[in-house]
Amino acid sequence: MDASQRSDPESPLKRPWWVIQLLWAVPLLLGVSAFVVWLLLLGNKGQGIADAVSVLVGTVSLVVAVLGLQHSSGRRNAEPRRQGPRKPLPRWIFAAAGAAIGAIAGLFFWLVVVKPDVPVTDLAEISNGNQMTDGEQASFRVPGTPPERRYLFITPVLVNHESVGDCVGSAQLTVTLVRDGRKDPPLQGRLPGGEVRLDLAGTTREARVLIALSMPDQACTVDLGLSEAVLYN
Amino acid sequence: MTTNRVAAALVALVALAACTAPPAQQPARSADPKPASHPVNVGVGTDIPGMAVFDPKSHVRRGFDVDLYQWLGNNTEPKFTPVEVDVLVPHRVDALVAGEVELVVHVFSITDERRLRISFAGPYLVTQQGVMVRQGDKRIETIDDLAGKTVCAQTDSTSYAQLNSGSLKGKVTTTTDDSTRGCVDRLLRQEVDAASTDELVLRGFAQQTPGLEVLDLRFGTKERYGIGLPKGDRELCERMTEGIRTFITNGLWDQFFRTNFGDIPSETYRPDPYRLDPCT
Repeated sequence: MDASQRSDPESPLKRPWWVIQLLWAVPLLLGVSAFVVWLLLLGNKGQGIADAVSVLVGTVSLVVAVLGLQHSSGRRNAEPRRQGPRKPLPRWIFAAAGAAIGAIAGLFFWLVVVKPDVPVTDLAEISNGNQMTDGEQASFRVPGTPPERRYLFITPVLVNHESVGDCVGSAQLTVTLVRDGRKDPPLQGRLPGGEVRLDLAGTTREARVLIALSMPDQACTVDLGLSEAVLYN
Repeated sequence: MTTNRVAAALVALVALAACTAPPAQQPARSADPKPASHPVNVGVGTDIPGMAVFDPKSHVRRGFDVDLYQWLGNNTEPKFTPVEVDVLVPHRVDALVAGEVELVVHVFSITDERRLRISFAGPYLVTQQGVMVRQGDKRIETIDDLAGKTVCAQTDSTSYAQLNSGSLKGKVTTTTDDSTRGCVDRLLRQEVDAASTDELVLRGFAQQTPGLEVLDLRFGTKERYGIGLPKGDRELCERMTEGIRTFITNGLWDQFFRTNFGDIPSETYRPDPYRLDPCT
């Protein structure tokens, strides 16, 4: 196919306009889908990235839309007005309507189906978390009776207040979820500073999290805290 | 036209493959010249019996630390040639941060505080704070007996910090010296009542120096010796950690310990090779 064929509006080989649009729309959708999956895998951090990216994309979309509108209205004014059957609606109206429907559907999905994350870092009160030594266990109650979301994301941190001792770097945490008094299999070998995700599904009354500390040095004393705790779906 | 292009691409691909394919009678790989081992600056000590001693006359270095970094140089991939850089104990962290050395293998206790500035691989040896006195001096028999005594420890060492923390905080009169050797000399000159540092280091000094005695006392948090690394070099950390694990499990750790410390029982000083610190 050569250039003269492509530019000929009457050519039988001319592709419909939507096929040409698919050439850029499909790769874009695939890319965005992969990006969204990556954001979901990032968990709470993904939310922050999504917020920042959405501002950028939204602004760029607005600018592009305004420029497109100005361009098309300028061209329309320059062209002589033709008499005849009623002109079909411009494509941008369909695009804008599609975008609006998509935005409303997305908002509905996010607010009603997925539901926004609930930060509970300040609400999770750890008991026995101060001056912990090897073999000791701390715990906290997951806020909400039952918790408002299906999953809990936590980032436990340990603090060694002394200038000596390889305590935090060598510590291991064993995290056990207790749902309505029943213990789940423990997540062993979790390191302080690492992210832990717990599935709270099926909790009807109360969920608790037990965190057991293991350190090779019996003389070590550390404080356990949570740098982040988020309920999410 | 498209068919022609595909055919041309296939021909080009076949031609390229023919050019790059190894000849059938390629010489054995072992015949290739051995890749040169790259030099790596290693911060080391010079005056710690059993761990690292430098003899200026023969220019020979001996000690457990020396055996370890030399073994790592020959047995980790890629291999490296250790270039020894003498580093004083108080300057170990700064030497790494400034990039003067890439590794420090020098009775370097892993601590959470030091982890803020550098990384560690290990531990490769575990000891604890000990106390050394003049032979026959019976005034100190328990940790509580240190109260009111003058004890020497090395400047900017964990030993000095341990004497000023925990149950001993505020009870001991501490004095410092730039080296453990300096503290040992002051103990011999009766300027201090005791010298305190890592128990294994004290045992090394006691083996060399008549008239001194290491008490059967241990206190404070454990001193877990690690290899100091530039902060955040995870790849190097994992390579060194794996090397240390092999060094312990293949029996060389015990062999080198016996060579450097004689008949001191090694069990309490050997770390669990399957629970080395993770690289973060």
